[in-house]
Amino acid sequence: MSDIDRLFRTYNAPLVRYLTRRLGDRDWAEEVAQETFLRALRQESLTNERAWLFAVATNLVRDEARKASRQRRHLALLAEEERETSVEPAETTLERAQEAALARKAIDALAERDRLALLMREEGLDYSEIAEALELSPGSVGTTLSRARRRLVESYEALQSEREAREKNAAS
Amino acid sequence: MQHPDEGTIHAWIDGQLSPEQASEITAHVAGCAECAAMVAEARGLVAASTRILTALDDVPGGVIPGVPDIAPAPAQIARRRWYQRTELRAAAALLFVVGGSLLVTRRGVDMDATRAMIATTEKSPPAPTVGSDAAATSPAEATQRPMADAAATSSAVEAAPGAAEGSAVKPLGERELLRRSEAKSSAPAQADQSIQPKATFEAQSSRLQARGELRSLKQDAAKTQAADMVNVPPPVANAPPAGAAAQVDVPPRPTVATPVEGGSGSADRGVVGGRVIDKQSGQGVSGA
Repeated sequence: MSDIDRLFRTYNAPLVRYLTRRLGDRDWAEEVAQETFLRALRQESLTNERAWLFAVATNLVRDEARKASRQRRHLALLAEEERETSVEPAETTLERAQEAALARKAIDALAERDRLALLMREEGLDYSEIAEALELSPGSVGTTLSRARRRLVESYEALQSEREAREKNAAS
Repeated sequence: MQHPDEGTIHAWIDGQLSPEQASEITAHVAGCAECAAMVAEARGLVAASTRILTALDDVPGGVIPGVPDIAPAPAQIARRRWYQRTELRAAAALLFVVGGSLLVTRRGVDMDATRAMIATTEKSPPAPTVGSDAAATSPAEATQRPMADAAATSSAVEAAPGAAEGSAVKPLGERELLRRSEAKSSAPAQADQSIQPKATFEAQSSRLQARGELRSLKQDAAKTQAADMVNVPPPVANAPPAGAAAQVDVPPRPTVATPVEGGSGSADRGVVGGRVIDKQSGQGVSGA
């Protein structure tokens, strides 16, 4: 098995999941992941391949996002909200779509660095890899993650109670 | 010791502290109710974060309309210049053949003229990278191209006779020319090069295929096949070796692990006896 095969097999799933969570669009995530692997192919050698792959994928997203992030994220939100309201599928599906929309809003509420550190950690990167990929000092990763987790959970819960209040108003 | 801060507690839960640091925290938390409460809260945050983020995996593709291409590598844009275009190269080659045939026809089978022509040809550089600017910048200059090229050209033309009407008019003159040029000029070198462009083409093609951007090239591909035998594109500077590239079997739409199957990274880490264990490796995850 060639090196690129191994890289792809080892990291494609976590990388695509990371990017999907980051971007809210699986197709886009897969495109970015492929571009990342193609760039890896051009590298002579990778010292820390996982940190390298996540860093390059993050940068690809960032370069693109610089141009049109706000509109795009807004569109993603609209799409999710539209699914949430207009589609009337089975209750479980609806619930999951609502949860996804809340989760999207909550993750978008984080600062970019906190969000990326958290998403990388969820894919199993250790602190030194996160520090390398995001150019943080290794000592600050714990603080970054603790802040990211707290804010994510807090804003998710706030959004959730907001929605429950709305539903209660609508019912009465 | 002092109460650990929240970041340290998260690092401890994540198994990212050195063994010494970790055991210090373990000892402290055991005797400090305040910190034990913080640890419990932090564990809750870690688990809740993972759960919230898992909800993001339930996302279909194509949510965002008109996702632009990620900027293609500049090298791939620069690689194809206008004079490398297949049609232009084919046209230049054709012009050379027709012009050469006419020349021979007019002068009859003037041996001296033919020899003189071959001589001038041999003086001009053998053009190992035929795509050099001088090679095909204009049709007029193209007629000055080395005779060695004519050899490849004519053989390609014979393979596809319909493509070159000029050669059909005076096949004899051309063959005569060809035989002499093959005898006199460096035909072997040309033969080697005729293999290389195919490899380069395949390498490029597989790279681009992987990108799912082959569409535009595919249209050229049929034409290019014939023309590539004629024209040797310059070696691509930063293309990977053909073998390596050909092995990249990146499908246009790789199957992505479903959220359920893949789980999240955190799910691969279990907490055993206050220590975070990497389930995949079975090892305790030690500090950074």
